[in-house]
Amino acid sequence: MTGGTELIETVAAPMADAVPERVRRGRGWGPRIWIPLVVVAFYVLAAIFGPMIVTFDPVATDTANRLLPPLSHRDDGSLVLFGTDQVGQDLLAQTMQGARVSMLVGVATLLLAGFIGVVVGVVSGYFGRWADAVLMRVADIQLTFPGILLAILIAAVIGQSVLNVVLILAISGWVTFARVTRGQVLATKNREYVDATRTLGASNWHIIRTCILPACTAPILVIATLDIGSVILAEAALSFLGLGTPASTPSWGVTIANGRNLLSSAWWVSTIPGICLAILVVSFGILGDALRDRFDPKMKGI
Amino acid sequence: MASAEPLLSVRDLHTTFPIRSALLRRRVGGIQAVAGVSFDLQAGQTLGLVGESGSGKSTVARTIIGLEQAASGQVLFQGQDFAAAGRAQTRRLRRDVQMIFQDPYSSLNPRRTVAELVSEGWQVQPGFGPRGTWRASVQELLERVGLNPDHLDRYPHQFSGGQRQRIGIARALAMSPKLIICDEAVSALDVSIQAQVINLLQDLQRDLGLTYLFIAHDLSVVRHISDRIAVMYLGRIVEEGTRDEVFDRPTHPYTQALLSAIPVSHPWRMPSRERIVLAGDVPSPADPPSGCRFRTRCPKARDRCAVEVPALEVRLGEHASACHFAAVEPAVAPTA
Ligand SMILES: Nc1ncnc2c1ncn2[C@@H]1O[C@H](COP(=O)(O)OP(=O)(O)OP(=O)(O)O)[C@@H](O)[C@H]1O
Ligand code: SF4
Ligand SMILES: [Mg+2]
Repeated sequence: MTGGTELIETVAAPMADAVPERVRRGRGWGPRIWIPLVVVAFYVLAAIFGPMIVTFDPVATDTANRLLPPLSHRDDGSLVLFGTDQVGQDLLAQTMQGARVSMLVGVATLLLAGFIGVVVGVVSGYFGRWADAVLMRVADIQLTFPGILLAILIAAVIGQSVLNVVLILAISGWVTFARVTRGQVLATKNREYVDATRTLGASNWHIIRTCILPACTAPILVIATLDIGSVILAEAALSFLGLGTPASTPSWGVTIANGRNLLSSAWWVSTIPGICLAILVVSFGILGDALRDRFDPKMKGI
Repeated sequence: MASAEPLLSVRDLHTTFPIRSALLRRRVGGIQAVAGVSFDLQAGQTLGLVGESGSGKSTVARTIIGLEQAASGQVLFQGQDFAAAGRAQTRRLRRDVQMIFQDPYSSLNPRRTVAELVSEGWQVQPGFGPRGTWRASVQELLERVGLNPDHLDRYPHQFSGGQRQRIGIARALAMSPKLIICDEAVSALDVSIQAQVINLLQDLQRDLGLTYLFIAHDLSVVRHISDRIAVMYLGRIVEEGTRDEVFDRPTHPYTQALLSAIPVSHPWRMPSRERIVLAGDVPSPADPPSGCRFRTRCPKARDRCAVEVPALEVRLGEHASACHFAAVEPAVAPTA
């Protein structure tokens, strides 16, 4: 058959939906996934149970045992694994309390940023038109502000509290979620199965719930994992600058800031929480990269 | 033509896709994917809609079912205008018209189980009985379309193409429709599977009194299943009649060319059969030729064809054809 009367169409190649099929077949979880996962799990356990075992009292002082180096003993004979700070506070207790604050802030921020971002992304991707134009311009404007500068500005205006830190970081973090969600919505909404659902008489809400959102979960989880490290880091930076969590709920940033004048005499006060922070952030980064490669190699530039 | 009121009546339907400029997204033109299509479909019958890729068959189907907006014209279902009906009524009407899609791989949501897929219509429309009875009803439907009723918790990727298409059929049947539009419903399947699915569709039509609008570019498939056939070219119907009229006595040069291209099983029995090869490509629907849209490729084109649009009307006293110079060319049709 040649010429204009070509009537035989090639048999359509099976177009499997890339994400869920691969998940279901469950290719082995390589070390790039499980090693950071074990580290993160260890932090989560320490953040949950640590402060229950080694209680931290922000106003207690023990001047007789101030600035003890790591692995030394108090005068009552008890071991101080991470050393003590300038008022004799146990750094292990402080670090675990800090892990709790930092991770709570990180998760709460991502939930809030993720919620805003997903709603914005779905509305602009699915409904398009002027809503899309307006929301994406807002996102562009948001992106032109350096995140940490914006955070400093807002913190200076609305003051210090854990809730404010979450708000501040979510305001500078929702755009990534919105963009990724919008892209995924655009890729999904013209799929044939969406049309097939619409012909049943389904409402937009049903289509968003059953066709659109499930297609967005994998990339959103990847983004959340990639983002949580930088959110925790940003929180530490804010707290270090005195614009983050108040001293009564010390995060790692507060502890690091406390020790910065002691770096030459008692290096451990700043360094130990700093190392804890670095390990967690790097773990999340590796985990996020690995998940992205696994779920969707096309997402590389994000 | 027809005495009883048709189940589906399409009147002078136009569907245009806007062409927008890259920079300002201004509308700079339109693709006339469907440009004045009219036909009637009687209850219980099958109308085969054929044409080359890009002739607008899918757009006709999608406009009828409401996935695309008509620029003008009417779609009357049991005498009621879809576009004029209110929202609630449209939803109700949608139940009666269901569609089976071409690609069984992309037309089923990969993240939902068979039970969820088949009962999806009941989730979105009121009045399908209590949820508790749904699983049993889904199993009945699966059995009806020749699938194992115990597979209702499986996902689409666990099925072959033909089985997936049966899931799609069960989904449509779940709405108890009157009209089913099959848009190239078997084109993506292997030939042996095609026959099985077509047999299933015919069984269902016989048992449930269904009406089909059967879209295909494979004329042999259409011949097997259709009562009437409409041939489309570049957004318009060029010939319409009963199956035998169109296959045995085609009067439009385009239909004749299509028929002459069908391979026959015993070519030596038809020594005089001519193969009409059309010159050139299908023109762009954004800028269709004046007069007869087929004239740029028609071997019989004359001056009149460029100025006067040929109407789709009964010619030579038999069936409708949109050619100024309609004439029977007996040597082109393949014998079955
Ligand atoms: N959403 C759309 N936007 C713009 N143009 C479109 C759209 N859908 C279809 N078209 C154009 O409309 C014309 C008719 O397309 P349609 O899909 O209806 O043809 P078809 O006969 O179903 O072809 P096929 O056999 O390939 O399915 C084509 O030129 C196509 O490019
Ligand atoms: S009207 Fe003219 S151009 Fe069109 S099909 Fe007939 S002969 Fe060909
Ligand atoms: Mg088509």
